[in-house]
Parts: sequence; C-alpha cells; structure tokens
Amino acid sequence: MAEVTQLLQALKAGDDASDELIEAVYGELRRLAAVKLARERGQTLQATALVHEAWMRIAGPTGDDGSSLRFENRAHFLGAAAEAMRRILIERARRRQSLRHGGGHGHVDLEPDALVELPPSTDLLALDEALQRLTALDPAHGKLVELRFFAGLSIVEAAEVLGISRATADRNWAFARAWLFHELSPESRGGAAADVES
Amino acid sequence: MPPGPEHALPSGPRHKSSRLGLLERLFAGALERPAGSARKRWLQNASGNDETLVAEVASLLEAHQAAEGFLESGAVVQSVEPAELEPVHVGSGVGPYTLVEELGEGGFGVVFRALQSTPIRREVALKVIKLGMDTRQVIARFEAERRALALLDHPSIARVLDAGATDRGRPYFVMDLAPGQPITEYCDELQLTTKERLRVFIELCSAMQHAHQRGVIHRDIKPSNVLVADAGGRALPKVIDFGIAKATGAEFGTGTLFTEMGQVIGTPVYMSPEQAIGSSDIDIRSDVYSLGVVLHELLVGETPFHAEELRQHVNGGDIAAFLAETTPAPLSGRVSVGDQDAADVARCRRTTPAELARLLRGDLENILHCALAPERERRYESAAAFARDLERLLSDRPIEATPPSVAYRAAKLLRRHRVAALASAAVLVALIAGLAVAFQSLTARQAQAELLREIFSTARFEDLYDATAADQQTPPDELDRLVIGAFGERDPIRVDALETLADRLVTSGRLAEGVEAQTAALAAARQIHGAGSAQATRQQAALGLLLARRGDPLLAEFELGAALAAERLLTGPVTTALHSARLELADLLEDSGQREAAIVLLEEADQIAASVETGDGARRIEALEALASLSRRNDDTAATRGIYTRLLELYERRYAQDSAFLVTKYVEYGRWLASVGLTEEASLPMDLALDALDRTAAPPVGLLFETLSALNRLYAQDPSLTTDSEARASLNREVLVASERFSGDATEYLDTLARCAEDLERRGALGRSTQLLTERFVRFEALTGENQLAEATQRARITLAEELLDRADAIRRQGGLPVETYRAARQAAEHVTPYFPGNRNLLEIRLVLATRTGEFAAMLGLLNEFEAASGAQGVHPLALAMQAIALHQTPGSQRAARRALSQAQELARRPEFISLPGLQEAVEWAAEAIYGER
Repeated sequence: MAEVTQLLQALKAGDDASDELIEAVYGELRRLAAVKLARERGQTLQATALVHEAWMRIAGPTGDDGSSLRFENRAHFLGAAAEAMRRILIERARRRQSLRHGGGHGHVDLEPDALVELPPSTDLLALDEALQRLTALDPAHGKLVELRFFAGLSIVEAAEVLGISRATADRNWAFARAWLFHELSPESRGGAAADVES
Repeated sequence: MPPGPEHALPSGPRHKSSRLGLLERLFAGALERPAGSARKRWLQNASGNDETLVAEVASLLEAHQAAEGFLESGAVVQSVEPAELEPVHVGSGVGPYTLVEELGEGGFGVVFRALQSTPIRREVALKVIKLGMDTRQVIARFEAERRALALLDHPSIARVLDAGATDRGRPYFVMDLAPGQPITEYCDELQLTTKERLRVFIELCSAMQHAHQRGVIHRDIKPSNVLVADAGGRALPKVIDFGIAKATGAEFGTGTLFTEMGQVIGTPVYMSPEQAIGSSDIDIRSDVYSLGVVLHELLVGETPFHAEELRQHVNGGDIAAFLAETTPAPLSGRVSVGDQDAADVARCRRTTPAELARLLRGDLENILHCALAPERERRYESAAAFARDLERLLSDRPIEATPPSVAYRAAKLLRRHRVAALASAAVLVALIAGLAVAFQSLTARQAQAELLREIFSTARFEDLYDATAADQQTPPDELDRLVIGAFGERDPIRVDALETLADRLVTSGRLAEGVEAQTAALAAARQIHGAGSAQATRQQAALGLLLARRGDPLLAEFELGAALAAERLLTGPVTTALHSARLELADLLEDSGQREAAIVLLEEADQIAASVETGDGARRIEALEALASLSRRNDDTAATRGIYTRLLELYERRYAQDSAFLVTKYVEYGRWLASVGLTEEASLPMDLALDALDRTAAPPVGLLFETLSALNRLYAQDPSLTTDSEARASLNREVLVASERFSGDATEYLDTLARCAEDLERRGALGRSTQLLTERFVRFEALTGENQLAEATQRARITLAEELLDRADAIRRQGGLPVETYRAARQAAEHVTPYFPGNRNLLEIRLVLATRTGEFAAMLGLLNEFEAASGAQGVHPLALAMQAIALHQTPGSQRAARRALSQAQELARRPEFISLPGLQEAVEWAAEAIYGER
C-alpha cells in the first residue's frame, strides 16, 4: 500500500499512470482478491467493490505520512486499477482456457482460486482482442470501456477519470459498446464495423 | 483536397480515426432521431448518400439495440463452486457408474445409490464431494491411503472401493452400499436398553480396532457414519467413509471448515479437541474421542457439548481453550427425575429416569471421562481398550478408568487462570519486553529464544492477536510494533518470534493471518540478516509453502522460486533445507503446465537428497515418487522406467524383502509397465512380488490378492507370457485368495469371479469358467435378493441369467467336452431356471446336458417337467428316450421300454429333431442301456 501511495503522490495532475504504478496496483488488487476469495468461497467478487476497497485502503482517512491523498490521485489510481483488473481477469481467463484444453483424461483441473464471470455467451478473451482493436482506433474509447467494465466504474466516475463531460461519456459509451457488440457478434465478424480498419 | 465524403479519402493511419469520427457522429446523430424513416432519411443526407457508410451505421445502430445491458454491470471475479458448475443428478453417469437414486446429502457431498456397468453390474454407494476442493489433491491423498484401506476387511466396515474425478473435476468416492440407519436412530427406534446399546457400541469398537491396527484412522466418526442394520436378529454396525475424511478434510483447520463457507460443515460436536483446532497431528486417540461422543449420545440422547455452543467458540476462535478447559456435565445429571426430556430419553431405553441415572452414575461416567479427556494422553489408548473397559462393566468386574484426581483438577484450574492472565495483550507484551531486558547478554540469547517459543506455544497468543486485531484496521502493523517494541528492530529473535507466531496461527487454522505473520518474518529476516541471506531464504520458502497451502499458486510459485534462486546464489543447491519447497514448487509448476521445469526441480531434489542423505532415503523416495507420477502422466516411458529403477533400489535398500511396502511398489511398477505395453518386462517385478509373498509365512491376504490379480491381468493381456495350465492354476489361486480376502457377497469377490471366469475360458477351462459364473450368479442373487429391487438391478440379474443360459446352450451343442464342463453347464442352467418359467428351450438344454453327464436321476425329474411343459406325453424323442431308460429300470416294463425306444428312434430321424444336439447320444445311450446288457 505504502508503495502505491508514494507513487500516487509523485504524480502530477495530468500525468498518465506510470507502468510502475499499474504494477503496484496490480499486486494490491491480486492480493486483495486472493484474500477475499479465500475467505468467501463460493462468493462472487464485484470488480468495482474490489477496486473501491483497494482505494479506501490506500487513501484511508489519512495517508501514512499523515497527509491525505489529493483528490486527483483517485483518478490516477482508478485508471491504473482498471488496467490492472483487466490484466488480472485476462490472465485468469487464459489460464483457465489452457487448463481446459490441456486437461486430458477427460477431466478438467479447475483453477483452484477463481473464475471470471461474464455476461452470458461473452468470451472474455475475444472481448479483450476487440477492445485492443478499438483502442488502436481511439484510445479514449478503449480506456472508457476498461474503466466501465474491468474496473466496474459508473459513467460519472469514468468521466471524471477521463476528464470528459458526462454527456460525452454517455455518447462515447453508447458508441463503443455498440461497436464492440457488433464486433463480437458471430454473424458480422469481419463485417461493416471491421471495415473501419481497412 | 476537394471536399467530399471522408471515406473517399486515401486510407492511412491518420484517416482511420477520422473515419471512426465520422461513424461516431453519424451514429450519435441517428440516435437523436426517432427510429424509422425520419432517421433513415437523415442518415442518407448526412452521409452524402454513401450506401456503404449508411449500412455500417445501420448495423451499429442494430448492435446498439441488441447490446442492452452489454458490459453494463462490470466484471465479476468469482471463486469456484463446483456444485454450480456441474449438477450431478440421478440418471447421469459418473465414470463407469450410473446414479440411480439419491440417498442423502451431507456436509461434504451428496451420496447416491449407483449402478456400476463395467466390469460387473453391481450396486454401490457413490459420494460426490461438493466442496471447492482441489480434486487432484483429494485423489492423491486418497491414493496415498489406498494401500492401507485395501487391508481393511471387517464385517463392520464398508470399504471404499474407488475414487475418481467427474468430468468437471469434482472428486467422488465409491463405497460398499451399506444398508441401515445411523446408530443413534437405530437404537432409539428399537428402544434398546443401555446394556444393549453398549453391546452394539462394543461391536463398533471392534471394527475401529481392526482399522486402527492397520494404520487407518477414520477422522470422522459420528452417528451418520455408523449405519446399523439387522443381521439375523443381531444389530450389525457398519462404519462408512473410511479414508474420506483424510482425503478431503485433512488440511482444513477449524477456520476454513466452519466459517469460511458461511456455515458449519464439519461435525465439530464429534471432533476431538486436537482436530477441532486443526492440528495435523492426529492419531487413533482422536477416533477414541469421537467414539466417546457417540457413546455419550447413545447413553443420554445428547452429545457432551451442543453444536451451537461449539459453533460460537469456533467462530470466536477460542475453541481450543473451550475444549481444554470445559468439563462436560456428568452423564447422570443429564437425566434428572421430573424432567420431561429425561423421561423421554429413559422411555427410549425402556427404563425410568431414576433407574437410568443410577445406571450411568459412577463407572460409565468414569469410562466416558477417560474417552473424552481433552489431553489424548489421558484417553484410552485404543478402541479395544475402550471396549474392554465396557466389557468389564457389563460383566461387573472393576474397570480401569478412574475418576479424575484432585491433582488433575487443580492443575486444570491453575492452567485456566494462567491462560486468562495471559489473554490480556498488555500482560503478554510486558512479559516479552521484560524478557528482552532480562536477557541482555548474548549468551542468554538461546535461552531467551527458547523461553519465548515456550510462551508462544503455551500461552494463547491468538488472544494477543485478537486484542490488537479488534479494530480490524492495522492488525499486522500493530503486531509488528509489539514485537519490535519488545526486541528492537535488529534483534534476530524477531524472526523467530514471527515465524513461531505464523506457525501457531496456521496450526490453529488461521491460515490467512499465518501468511501475514510469515510475510513479516520474511521482512524481518531480510532486514536483519540481509535480503539474500540463508535466514531470509528459509523464511521465504516457508512463506511460499503457506501460500501454496492457502491456494494461491501464483504467489506461492513466485516466493518458492525466489527462495530457491536465492539458495542457488548463496550456497548452490547443496542442502535439503528447502526440500519441501522444491517438491511444492514442482507441484505448482506442473499445475501451471510447466512439466519440464517441475521435472528438473524434482531431479534436483533427488540428487541433493542423494548427496546428503545417508539414512533411509526418505527424502529421495518422496522426490522420486513425485517424479514417477509426473513422468507417468507425461507419457514418457523411458524416463518413468529410469525413475522406477531408482525408486525400487531405494525401496529394496529401505525395506525387508517381504515388506508389504516393497511388494506394493513392485506391483505398482509391474502394472505401469503393463499399461504401457511392456508386458514381458512387467512380469519381472510381478514375479518378484509374488515370490516375496510366497516366502512369507502368512502374507497379508489383501496384498496377495492384489498381486495375483495384477499378475493374472498381465497374463490375460499377453497370453504368451505363460502356459495355459500355469495361467489356469494362477487364476484358480486368485479366486481362492479372493474368497479369503472378501466375504462371499462382497462386490470385489463377484468382480473377481467374473474376471477370472473370462480369463479361464480363454485358457480353455470352459467348465471351471462356467462354474465361476454360476457361483457369481448365485451370489449376486443372494446379494440383491432381500432388497426391494430397483428395476435396474432386476434387469441386471436377468441379463446375467441369460448369459448363463446362452453359455449352457453353447456347451450342450459341443460334443467331446470333459464331463465336468457339461456338469457345470447343467448346474448353470438349473440355477437360472426360475427366471425362465415354462421355457421349453431351457428344459431341452437341461435334458441334453443331463444326458451328456449321464445323470439319470436328474433326467427323470426333467422328463416330467418337460412333459408337463410340452402338454403331451412322448412326443419328443428325447423324452421318449428318457422314458425308455426309466421303464427299463422298472421291473416288468421291458416291453414298454423297448416300445418307447423304437418310437424315440423313429422320431429322432424326423427333420425337426435331426439336428437337436445330444439327441443322438441320448437315443444311443438308451439303446445301449436296453439292449447292450444282453
């Protein structure tokens, strides 16, 4: 925690979250998730709850050195947390997939700690790939989806992190979501939306 | 650049996003307009009538409609609850078993009555474990115990036959189907008296003693695991679930078992104190305690402590203290006169409360006090000793258990007070600080460490933890500060203190906190001794092991890997200090698909152990066993063979030639060789195993059976390994040993009969084979005869009968077989007769076979049946031939006999009978009987 706090304090307004910060936040979230899941077997863990709890632990009533973290640190933290959560979830999904395919002998070694739950019939890895394509076209859209889905932030929170208006966030979200949905629907793979790249 | 639709611009990276921008604007604009022709018109205009663009936006708009809720709720991390992943239900298949009926649901899983389809159709009990456990570990632990379990052979023990994983990875166990109801219910329903209850309980003790003598601890004795059924007017208890508690629950301390699942899962009321606190050091005296609880309940209708009471202490984390300090109320006091419950309890035992209290007072109280002592040293040392004391009581001889002494009670009181004093965090901190001051000199360090360790292990250090953790804000920091405050940041004892604390926490089931403490120990070791120091490395390895145990493979892999890397830098891998770390890391690596790395690590562990160890090679064996199983899974035949060679060398060095461990390993190796097709090579270790057993005066019958069975299956796999007559002898021996090993109605025995019958038939012993199949049918019939038959069982029985009938039919069609074969076939046909009432073909088969065996008396009986079935006399040539013989033997009927014979001869020439097997012989035989004597 102390490390995350220091890294956050070192950031100036307008800076992007550094790789180092993402790394540190990633470690914290993983640890937190593992502890929670070990205690509450059979429970689900909302990404948003995880991220917010991590923030509460970092910011606390006061920081370690007695000063409270600045408000803009929260935006940095959430940005880093969204990316970290995305990595955590994708890693789990990859691992799970490889276990499925490599299981052999007709039985699957279940990953002992956790699985990722997705909306029905959504493949997380496919979503991640589509999201990468969207990010290549428009990084802000990619970030928005990351914040909304992987960190579970509300539109208002996500708008704050991105420094855009609520209305813009709404519009962008509607577009990004439709674009991704279209990209993921099997009948239109390589269809109209994909043509954007050509 | 001329104005125009943007999509017409040459493509390039910069334009991709502007094209996206155009799409976005059109999309947003369209959304603001009502769907329908207005929107469509607007889109046409805004896009400059670009049809492609319009189509793209339209498809995005469609996606927008359909994407209602998509990605809206945010990602969720979910822990595995296999029960949700895989509904197991009646009718579904699990391995070779089909679930027939749900028998019940317990804390750990659901039990089904199941039908096994291969190699024999039989009914078993199948328990699917529902906890989110690591299946591989559960099965591995079961496999480790299997050898011991195979030695269990007692009428009051239901054996666990098999374990496996369902398609979705849930572990399951297959057991003998044990009829009956829980021991307490049984006794209450039949209103058994106290003495009768003691008798049933003594039977139970004898089963437990049998298991204990073979090194098997049950670990989960409770009424629902002791099922009692009537057996010829006697109550026969059957203990189920042997080996399952160990396979599924050994690693669960109270914390995990009771609270993390949000409900109480284990049965704390029947658990010994050492089990309840999650100690890994469990021995047979733990079962003795549980037996004591069961007896307590049998006697007074309730357990010494109530579930709710225990649950509170489990959740409160002070279960260990509670069990150690609390003496349950005496038995006799629980049935006080005038109490309605007591009156019910007494009536259930066909007595009055006053009489019952009198019975329970004194000896029985002392016996239970001894069985339920919180310190296991004070308990009966075995189930047999427990039973013996009860026998003494029943025969009015003096018992061995004595009432607790004054000294014992005083000691207990003293301890209670000391613990209460230490429970105050302030006192403990003062004590630690005081120690630090008192032991300033370096020479006293050792003593200080010792003393501290003692405090940590005897005092209730968790109380200190609880006191500091009460605010939930900064428990680890606070604890750190306490220890730092007491010893100073650079005091090496801090590492010891934290490691001891971690150990203590883990032992009492607080794994998560244990990890925190161990993490602190690692940090302290790094600070004091340096990051790459031997001390830090050891702490890091310890942390890794704890993380693995907590189920955090990634972190564990990291810590263990780092510790091993540090060791390499420090000294090179030359000590076995990190042996466990190597094994655990190899396990983790294999889990994450890095088999090669796991192999390297295990090889290294073996080499280090080989270079260091001079003793019995226990560490090498550990490493090589892991290596062997990994290599087997890797399908690497050459490597596996090499590993087994090394492993067997160690075994041969470590164990006597006729040791069961060595023999088992030979058989295991032989089985594996056979499984990869190296049959010739496989016969070597199998022969070694059998030789070793044959040299033993009284070989363990279970092991002998396993060995013979493995050898015979090998012979079946590769018939060229031995001659038919040798194979036949060996198969007959297997049947013989199986009949000693299993009770006649055990399903294994039936399996053995089926397998050996098949092999014997291939080896040309058709008669013996038929004999075995007949025996199997008869036993199967007896086995399922009393039960209310499930349809599936009925079908199975009829299938078996049909098989036998076919076989008898086939045999009668062949001439020139040894007479024993015909006799066996005839017996087979006779046994299945009740299943085919009025079947003429069967009667014919029996008649022909009787003819072939020359059993005249049998023929006459059949003749009557045959005539009754065919509705007319003398229309069948066989019947006529039989009749001729019968008449011939009756004085004064010689003419009638000759008439019958000539009729038979005439009929036998008719086309419909000409091909009837055995007819010709029968007619000739009759002719010989009548005319040949002249």
